[in-house]
Amino acid sequence: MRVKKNNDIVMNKRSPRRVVSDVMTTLIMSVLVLIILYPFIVMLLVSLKDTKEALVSPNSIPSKLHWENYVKAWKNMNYLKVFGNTVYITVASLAGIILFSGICSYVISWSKYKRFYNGIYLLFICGIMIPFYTALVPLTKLMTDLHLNNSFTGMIWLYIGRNMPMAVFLYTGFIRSVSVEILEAGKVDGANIWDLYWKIMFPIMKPITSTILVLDALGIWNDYLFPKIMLIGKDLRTITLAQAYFKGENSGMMNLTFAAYILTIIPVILFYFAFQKNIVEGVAAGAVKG
Amino acid sequence: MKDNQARVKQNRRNAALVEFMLVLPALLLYFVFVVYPLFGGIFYSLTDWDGIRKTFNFIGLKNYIDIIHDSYVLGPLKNTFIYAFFNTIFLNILGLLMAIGAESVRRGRNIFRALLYIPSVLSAILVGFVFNFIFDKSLGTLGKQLGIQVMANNLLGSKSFALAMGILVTSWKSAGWYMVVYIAGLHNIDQSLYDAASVDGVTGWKRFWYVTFPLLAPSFTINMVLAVERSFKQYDLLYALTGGGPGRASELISMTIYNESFTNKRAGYGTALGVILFLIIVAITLFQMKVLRKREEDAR
Repeated sequence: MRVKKNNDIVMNKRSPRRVVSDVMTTLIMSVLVLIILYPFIVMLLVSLKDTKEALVSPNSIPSKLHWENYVKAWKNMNYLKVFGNTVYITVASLAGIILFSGICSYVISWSKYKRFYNGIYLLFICGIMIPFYTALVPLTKLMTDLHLNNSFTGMIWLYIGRNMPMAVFLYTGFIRSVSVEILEAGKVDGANIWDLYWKIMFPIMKPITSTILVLDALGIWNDYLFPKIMLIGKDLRTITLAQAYFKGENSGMMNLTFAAYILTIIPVILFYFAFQKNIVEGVAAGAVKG
Repeated sequence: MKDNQARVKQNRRNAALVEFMLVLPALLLYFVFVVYPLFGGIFYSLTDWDGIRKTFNFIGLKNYIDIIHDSYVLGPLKNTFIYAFFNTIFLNILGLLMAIGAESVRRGRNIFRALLYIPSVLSAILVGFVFNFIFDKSLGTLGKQLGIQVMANNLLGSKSFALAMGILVTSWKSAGWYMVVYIAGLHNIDQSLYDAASVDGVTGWKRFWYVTFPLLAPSFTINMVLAVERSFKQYDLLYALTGGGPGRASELISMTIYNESFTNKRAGYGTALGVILFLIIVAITLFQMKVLRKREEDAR
């Protein structure tokens, strides 16, 4: 049996049909990759042209490389400020999400009061599907009433709150699959619930924590609608707001606009390639459980 | 003795209290930012509030009754259904083909997968703006050179093409995401089933249809549900790509909700639309779950 299978593989490798189908697959996939890369290439080409050339011949190779576009774009969008704002909002929100949802899920999964906490768990789950648009008006009013509008603090609390259901769902699913013995061992040592969680449970939860971090990081970083409604004033801009306003504020100069866009996507692309494995695994894991 | 019992009871109560205190922050945040706004939304949908004044009147279900007859709203609602329908088909077919392609490529499997996923990490607003330029200038110029009039005139400026182009751009941005879920599904398929199939002489298309596809049922369910849900919630991409235009040919219901709530100062009406959107999403999701879960079980 085994020998026959190996023979099959060897024969397949040699057979011309197999070679043709391999070449075809690679070819089709390469075309797909080109389609994916095409907008990036256009962006790069246009970002290096002068204003007139950018509009007249968008597809050509720049006749002269205008690297100074990037310097101008950097200045005009106040890059460091915008980048810092977005990092601050994203990191603080993520810290809050992990902190609050983790320990909450731990209690939900392990408490003796099973029925009570199961009720609370179901309550959280109901929140997963609620779209932002149903809550648009009341949320805006709530934020104004709490004097949380036009502030990063408000944005951060909001992101934490709205990401609670999914995080609790993912954490609880994970913790429930952890064997009881690990915790019982800790309990015998007389550790209190706080120590038990941080010293024993939290390290075990690392894979699911990284899933939640990856999913929510990109979601918050790329969110546009809520900052658009909540953050007024140039100093409070996030990256998506800067992307949205740049063209209008630079009299539609596409070379500068695309230079600005490239500057804004560099951090995301770097982040992606640094954590590619976690992101791809996180997306798959999060989706399967969701 | 009695004293001891009381102390045990006290300790237990304290422990229960500590537990609840640890759940409380998450619960509170959830209530303030998710539950309260939902009920607030249902509340305001029964009023004629403009979003600014301090006072408003209760008008019962009038907003909902008006919506049924309002062609201003029904157009975008129809667009949203079209958008969701084709997105769901395209994203799943493309995602699946890309997954199979990326898995069967002999060399550079990881590179292909990595590159195809890139658009998923970009913000939808950026993708919309970039493609707006591409249709207007880049493809426009190409259309002129090739003598294709529709393309030269900017496909986004045509009432019959704008929404379709929105669907294509959505595919460009998101197909990689669906691919990743399908790849995870493919990895979960037991290799021995393929071996058994090849012993039975089942290969190629037949193998895909009778072995691979049924076993991908869980991934298929997830991707169908998420594609519909996300399409109904889409705002950024179409806003940046077409702004809902030309006219209102590519306006999605999310944009109508935003415009009604803030620009047109009809917060009550806009919120009623939001509630309807919520109900539509819940209804479709539950229906899909029922049908697709049954399919999953049949496959087993």
